[in-house]
Amino acid sequence: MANPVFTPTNANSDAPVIVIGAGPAGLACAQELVAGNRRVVLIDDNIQPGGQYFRQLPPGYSTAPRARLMRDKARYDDLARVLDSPLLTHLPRTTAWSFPQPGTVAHAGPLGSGRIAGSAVVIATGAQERSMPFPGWTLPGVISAGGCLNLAKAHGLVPEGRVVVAGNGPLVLVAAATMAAAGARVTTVAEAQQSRRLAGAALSGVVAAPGILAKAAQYRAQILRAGAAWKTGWMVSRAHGDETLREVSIAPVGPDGRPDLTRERTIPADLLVLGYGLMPGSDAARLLGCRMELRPDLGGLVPVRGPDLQTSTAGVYAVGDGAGIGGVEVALIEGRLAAHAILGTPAPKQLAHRYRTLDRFRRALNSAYVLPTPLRAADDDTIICRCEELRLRDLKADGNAASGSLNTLKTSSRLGMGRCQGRNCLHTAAGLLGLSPETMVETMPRFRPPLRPVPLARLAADRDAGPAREPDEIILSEAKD
Amino acid sequence: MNTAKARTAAGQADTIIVGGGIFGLFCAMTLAEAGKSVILLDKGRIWAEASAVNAGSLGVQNKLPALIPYTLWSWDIWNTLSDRLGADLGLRRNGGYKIAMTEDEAARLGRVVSEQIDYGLDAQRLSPAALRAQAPWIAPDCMAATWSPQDGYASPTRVGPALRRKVESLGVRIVEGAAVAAVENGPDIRVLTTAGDFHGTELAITAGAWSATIAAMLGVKIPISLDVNMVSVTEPARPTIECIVTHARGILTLKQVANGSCLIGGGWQGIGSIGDSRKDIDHDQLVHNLRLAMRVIPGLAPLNILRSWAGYEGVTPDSYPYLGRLPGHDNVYLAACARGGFTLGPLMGTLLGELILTDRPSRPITIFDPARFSNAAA
Ligand SMILES: Cc1cc2nc3c(=O)[nH]c(=O)nc-3n(C[C@H](O)[C@H](O)[C@H](O)COP(=O)(O)OP(=O)(O)OC[C@H]3O[C@@H](n4cnc5c(N)ncnc54)[C@H](O)[C@@H]3O)c2cc1C
Ligand SMILES: Cc1cc2nc3c(=O)[nH]c(=O)nc-3n(C[C@H](O)[C@H](O)[C@H](O)COP(=O)(O)OP(=O)(O)OC[C@H]3O[C@@H](n4cnc5c(N)ncnc54)[C@H](O)[C@@H]3O)c2cc1C
Repeated sequence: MANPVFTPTNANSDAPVIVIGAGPAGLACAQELVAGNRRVVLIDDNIQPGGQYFRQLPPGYSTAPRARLMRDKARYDDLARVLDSPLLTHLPRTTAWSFPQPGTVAHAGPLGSGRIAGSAVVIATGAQERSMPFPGWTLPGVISAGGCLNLAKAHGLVPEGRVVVAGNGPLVLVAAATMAAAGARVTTVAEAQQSRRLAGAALSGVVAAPGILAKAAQYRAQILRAGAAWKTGWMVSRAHGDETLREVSIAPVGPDGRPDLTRERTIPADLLVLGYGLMPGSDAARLLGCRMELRPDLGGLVPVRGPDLQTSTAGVYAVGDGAGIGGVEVALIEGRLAAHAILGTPAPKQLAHRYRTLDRFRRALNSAYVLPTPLRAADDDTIICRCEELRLRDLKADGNAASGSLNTLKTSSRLGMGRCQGRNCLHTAAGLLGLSPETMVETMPRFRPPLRPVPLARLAADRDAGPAREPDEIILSEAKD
Repeated sequence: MNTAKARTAAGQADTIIVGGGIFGLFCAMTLAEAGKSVILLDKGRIWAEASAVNAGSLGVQNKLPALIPYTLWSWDIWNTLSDRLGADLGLRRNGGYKIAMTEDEAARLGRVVSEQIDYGLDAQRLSPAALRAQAPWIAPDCMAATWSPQDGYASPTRVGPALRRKVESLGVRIVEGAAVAAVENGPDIRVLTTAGDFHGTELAITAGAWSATIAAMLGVKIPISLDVNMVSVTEPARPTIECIVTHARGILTLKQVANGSCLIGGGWQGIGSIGDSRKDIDHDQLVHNLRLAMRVIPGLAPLNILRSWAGYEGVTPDSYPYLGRLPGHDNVYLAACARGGFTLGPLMGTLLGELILTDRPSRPITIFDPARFSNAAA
């Protein structure tokens, strides 16, 4: 596909830069752009800016004093000052839902819906969590690590009772440590990767990013201090309970990615926190038709970017976890680097240097967590697609189960046709049906607007929609000639 | 291996069908049930174009008056199809409202429904008060409406796989990824595709919006224009709309399907051409489509839209389908392009099969003659 380029009217620097996502990456980018005297429109679908890492309490709320949450407040306050700049327009609770043209963002929210033509677009839409279905994973009392962190950060909620944290990736550590620090009773933490594979990454990190490693060590210490068992090479095999969670079974990860049930252990639990990895939220780039690539060292499917963090679509930049998993430090720097590229100013040497180091480190870290075989704990009765309530059995029985194409399977099974539009289920279904990651990407259904679910009335409220061409007038005029 | 199977495996069949949508699959089923050997070719996967992405309405009220009898005959096929295919097709026949929001539309609604009733439609006019009592979820300022118990819908995602299983069980050889690039018509038909050559006694063109391209390979010009129809789907909601809703001017179709999602269409046009395969959303027209839906059914307002998409539908100059021999070619047949071709597809495909088998289809097809806009082969 040819890359659409900006029309000259958009490309002038009078038009604002549109930043989608007000997480660390988007905020840092906006801050740097404003410092360079550029107008910015910052669109984010949350009430408060901050994204995942700097998730804020809703206005007017405060946490109980005993909840000691790791908020990194000083850095957030510094970033958030950009919101007061007259050069910046913040559209909170607003979804960027599509791109009528490559440089134009259609947005919708309670404050109004319309379109903005930008001089550049920055995709800073963050990551999403990977799911790992197993028997019992849909029980109340089983929640995702991100969701758990959000409850803690945005609502000051700290779970009561015994907490088990399991998954694959740094977020396991973050979630467990955050819970422990906030006073939750974390009893067991299970990381699916073998410790010897993790060790390599840790070594490379000592050189590359001592700060981050120190933080990880601090997280580990927090978990151990809380008295939790820390197991590597173990995964959840099932969750038990009728109305709600009662017990969790964990088992060593077998060579085929399945739990080794001969060594399964069942532990009482009131809350199971799952963090089976993050995936870049690459929907916006896909919708724009940016060239994409599968990069395990960046966490999955990401837009191809140049050194200036520009995608294959001219004028469209991608930064932060949405362009490759890297965590808050990478997100902050990428935001700044993209801003410099847009402004046409050289990035400070130190920033560029630090980025090279961090980028190397995060790629080593992501690679270290890549499992030799994907985990598979689902049995035939396990729900894979929650929206359409499809069990593994249903998918296996579908006439297109062996078609080798997710898109084909979708059209007959309804996999991924529901609310999540496949964001949560397609990759797990692909793994369970034996599709390689490459085949999964090649046969993924085309991404269609809206980028995220938007109420009909808000799409209908689009103040910038062009005139209607009613279809029946087309019929009549065609019949005439 | 029996001989027919060996022949089709070698790329030879009585009939080669180009296009595995609903038209082609019904044609294949009809021929195979009568004992013909059939090879069905598709450029991609079968059931991946209009037949797969359509909104699933099986409307009678929204058809041109002269097509009402055909729509009812097609419904005869739909009525027993679940049994015939041994599958749940998501088929419902709960009727439908056709509504008018302005005085002009009300006048048109009245005019058209009289004509449709003359052609056999079972429908009644509803006073605004009666409508409000029956369907309180329709906007109170709706000017006029008709009700027909004959409207319904089915699930394209269920119909396709069931049809495929059926024709395969009848011995039809389906070849996917076989884009037809050239056709030679000597004493026999030779079809050259990206997946090899195929030989047949007859050729059936059921390539939907692409049918003109295939006809052109035989030097025949058939006028087909392209519609790029858009459809949107909402998140599941409490079941409220038990039937389909259509519009006096044909600019809205709406239904709530089994899982509670509402499908919103109406022929609003997206962006794309046969050459570029874009099938993109036109954001302006999408917004107008949604506005109209909300104006007619205000309760839709808070529902999240999950996805909007577009697909290609071929259209003839008079909106009647093509069904018959390709002008100038005795052994080449064409069935394509019906507005509402998901509804009419079972009949059109079946009649095409009958035409090939016996030369005497069970229903009159002269108004569908592919030669009606030209008087000779080019
Ligand atoms: C659920 C979850 C929780 C996490 N919690 C933590 C944590 O507690 N600690 C930690 O170190 N790391 C956490 N992470 C990892 C996190 O991704 C990074 O640390 C960091 O927040 C990445 O910054 P970012 O700016 O790239 O993206 P994010 O911080 O994710 O910010 C992206 C923002 O864009 C918004 N957005 C996305 N698409 C659209 C759209 N179409 N329209 C409008 N707005 C849109 C999102 O709502 C979000 O506010 C979490 C990740 C996830 C997925
Ligand atoms: C978005 C949308 C919504 C619609 N909603 C409704 C509705 O609610 N109700 C209704 O009744 N109708 C509806 N329609 C119309 C209906 O879907 C079509 O009229 C009908 O499906 C046409 O069937 P077909 O078999 O002729 O064409 P298609 O299903 O398009 O099949 C044609 C096949 O030919 C193949 N082909 C094309 N070129 C070649 C080649 N060179 N070589 C090999 N194979 C080739 C294609 O790949 C395709 O599989 C809708 C259409 C669209 C696009």
